[in-house]
Amino acid sequence: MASVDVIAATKSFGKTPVLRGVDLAIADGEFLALLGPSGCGKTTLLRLIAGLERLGSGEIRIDGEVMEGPGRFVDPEDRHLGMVFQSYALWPHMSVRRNVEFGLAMRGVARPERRQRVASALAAVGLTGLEDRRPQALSGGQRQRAALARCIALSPRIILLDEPLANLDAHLRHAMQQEFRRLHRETGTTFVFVTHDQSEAMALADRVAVMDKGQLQQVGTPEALYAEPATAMVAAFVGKGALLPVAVEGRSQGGSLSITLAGHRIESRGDAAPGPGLLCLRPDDVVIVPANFPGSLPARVAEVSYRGGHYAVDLVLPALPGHRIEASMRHAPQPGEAVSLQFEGGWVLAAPDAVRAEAA
Amino acid sequence: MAAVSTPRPPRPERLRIPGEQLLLAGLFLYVLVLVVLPLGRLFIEGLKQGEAGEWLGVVREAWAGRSFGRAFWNTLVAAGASTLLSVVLGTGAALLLRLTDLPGRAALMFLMLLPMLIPPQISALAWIGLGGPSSPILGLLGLAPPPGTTNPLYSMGGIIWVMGLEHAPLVLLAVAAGLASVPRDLIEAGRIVGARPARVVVHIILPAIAPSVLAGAALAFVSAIGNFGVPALLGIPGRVTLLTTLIYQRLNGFGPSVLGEVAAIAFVLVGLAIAGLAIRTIIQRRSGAAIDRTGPIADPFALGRLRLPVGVLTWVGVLLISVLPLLALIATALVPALGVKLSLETLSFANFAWVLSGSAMVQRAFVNSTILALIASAICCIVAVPLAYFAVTRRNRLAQLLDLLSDAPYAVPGTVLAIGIIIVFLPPLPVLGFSIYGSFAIILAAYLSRFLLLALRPVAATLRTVDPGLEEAARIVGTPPLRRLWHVMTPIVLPSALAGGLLIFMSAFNELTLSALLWSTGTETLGVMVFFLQYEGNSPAAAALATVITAAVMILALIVDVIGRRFAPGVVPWQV
Repeated sequence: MASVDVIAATKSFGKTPVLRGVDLAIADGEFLALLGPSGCGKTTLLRLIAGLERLGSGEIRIDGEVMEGPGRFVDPEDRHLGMVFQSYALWPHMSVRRNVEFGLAMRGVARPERRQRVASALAAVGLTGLEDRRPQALSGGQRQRAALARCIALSPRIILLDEPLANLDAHLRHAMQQEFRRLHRETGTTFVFVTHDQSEAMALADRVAVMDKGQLQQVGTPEALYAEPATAMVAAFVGKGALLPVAVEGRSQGGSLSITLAGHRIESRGDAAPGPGLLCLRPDDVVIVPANFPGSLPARVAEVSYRGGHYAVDLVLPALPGHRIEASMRHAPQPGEAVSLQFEGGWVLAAPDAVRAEAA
Repeated sequence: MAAVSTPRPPRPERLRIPGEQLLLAGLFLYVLVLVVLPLGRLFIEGLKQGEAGEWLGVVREAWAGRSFGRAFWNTLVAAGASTLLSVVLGTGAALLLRLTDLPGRAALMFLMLLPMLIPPQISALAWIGLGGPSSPILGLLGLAPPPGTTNPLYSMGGIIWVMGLEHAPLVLLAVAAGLASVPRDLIEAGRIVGARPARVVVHIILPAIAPSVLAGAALAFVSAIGNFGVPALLGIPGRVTLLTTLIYQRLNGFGPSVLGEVAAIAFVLVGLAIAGLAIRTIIQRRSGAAIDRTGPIADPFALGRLRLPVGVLTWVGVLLISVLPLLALIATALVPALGVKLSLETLSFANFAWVLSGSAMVQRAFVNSTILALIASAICCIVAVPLAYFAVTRRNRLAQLLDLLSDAPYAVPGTVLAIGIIIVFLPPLPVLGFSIYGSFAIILAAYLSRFLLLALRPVAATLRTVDPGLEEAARIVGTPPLRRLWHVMTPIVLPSALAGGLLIFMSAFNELTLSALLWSTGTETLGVMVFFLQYEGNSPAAAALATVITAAVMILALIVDVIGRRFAPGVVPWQV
């Protein structure tokens, strides 16, 4: 169990910057997901914590102790961490038992204790009975469990997971997610989990750190990311938010924001100052009403697809060409049908500089 | 993406009459006469009844002799021990050069691969020059053995040492390729659980590359079994006879009358070579499944404080092994006469002048080897392109069989092939009524058989990577097959064929094993010439000639290297 502090971390591969000044504090015993599109630097950040890459500048501490900083670098073998690789990285020439036992032997654990810890680690992941198999003789899910057993047998203070579920089918992935939650609960170890799948991150983690282009966009609980995205990138990446240009008029007495969307005045929530802004709308923020309903915004149905129990309806706004909004309906409208929209909720962001320049 | 890279193999197209069938018939005749007949007849000759008519009499007689028993044992010892040396050196070098941050790794790699470019007899000559009582380099240091004593290289130990160094690059290349396919994750996972680099090497990397080490060892063993240059130059004066030199001495002493007996001895060489190659094939099949993914190559381990001492030691070791013998060779060539101490005053270029213009025989050898190498590489390229086209692109069954058979003359020891060639070409040719035995043509026949593979492999490898759509597109627009071969495929494989042709030229130019058994007065090759100058005791002249040949081969290697890197990646054997 340990905390991790990443302070002003930068890293480049050749001339390409991968991390541009990342500050991240991971609390003791926390389950943190690092989420972002591929190439955002999340795996590099994980490997930096493990000591498998060297920082460009900045500092990394574990439990307050400097692991890497100016003039100091602790080798990965001395950091006492656990890591599960995307490829599992099981050693092909060793049996499952040897794979789990190897780290204990390297750390100088005596043979009788080793045997007992291997047995309990394999029992914890449900692999008892497969001790003598070679990794090649295991199924994908079993390999994943063996890799996990290898990791927890050492009782590491932090467990780092690099897209561990990427190579599993949807069903197994769900089962392993529950396994991770259970192990986290039982061991109380700090988990850092890298993924590009937002639903996986939301389902597993206490907190999610969203990264893009080598920078942290937002760190918060899954609920906060969904309801109150800090940037346009987070709004678009998490929960398929539509982003519409609005003008922020001001804050009303109740604390809500008054905004105008295509000449249509609405009340919403957010933390943007008066001026150009972006309204983030989730499908459940949009209500479809009959055409020309008073106090509503005209729209047209572009596409309808069935999603099991409800229809996802793609809408275009004649007043805002080039933008689409997704709504959810219990009954299927006709494509091309004219409707009207009302909004309940939504979240207003300050517009990024590019949009501001365009508006000016 | 995956869908694009695995196109449906085109249906084999039926061959058209008559151009294509004539061409294929020609290829068939080539392989039949130069590959199948020599190796087939070798077996028939060796399996003949004895003089008294008993079953397998020739084999029984040949194998019962005391000299055979000794040579067989010597061959096993020399091949086994030199393989061990090659494995230790090759694996050690591969680990140091691929896994650490040693300074100057690219240059070290080049120096370690250098022995591959130098034919065995020249390596042997260089070591003789370095280690003998009249060694110009040891002499300068005062370390030379006392005058009058036998050169310590003229011994079993010398053979093992020089062959071990000569074949270490084979292990180095195999292990380096193996290391490149060890996924980085496996190494990192070891470090995460607390294994330091040394233990990662012992417990994770070595087990993972064990198949590559064994495959390299098998290759080194097969090469050692078939090596003639080293035992000829070191073993004959040292009275250590190996199977290859036993065959040479028998044929040289008794002529074609002992063909049956030497064929029976050759069986043993073939058997040992097949055993080695079979082990290699089995290992490669087995290890295919062991590592199922290749990822990025692992970062080199930092040697830290050890970087300087290990670096200095490695550099000194590699320079001693790879460069010092060559310096000794040059120094020996600069000595005016055997026994004279080399100094700035005594230094002389007389030997170089003599080999370049002073001896009609040496000049004849230059002309012979150049012409032989040129014709052999040209014909092999001309044969390899259509053969590879029919076998790979057109997937013709007969051509595929011919392609497979072409492996044999390169896989068997050269001595074995030479015996087969003699058996086939000793009797007068049918229709023509004269024999080519003792002429230029028999050496050419042997080269055409042995070196075809060196052009065939790169061309076939390139054709395998070519999109079948190119051929199909030409078919769709109605191009007849031979025109497709000429206008579409030949330009594509030209760089590979050229690289292969140059490899053949390099190999043939300083070839000894085949020509040692096939030459006669007037058809001396450069390899034979070096051997005989040394045999006559004219070491300085032999060294001068060897220096000139080595320089020529180095220049060719440079050209091959550039062609390989620029136009035909993956076809040059030393590029990994």
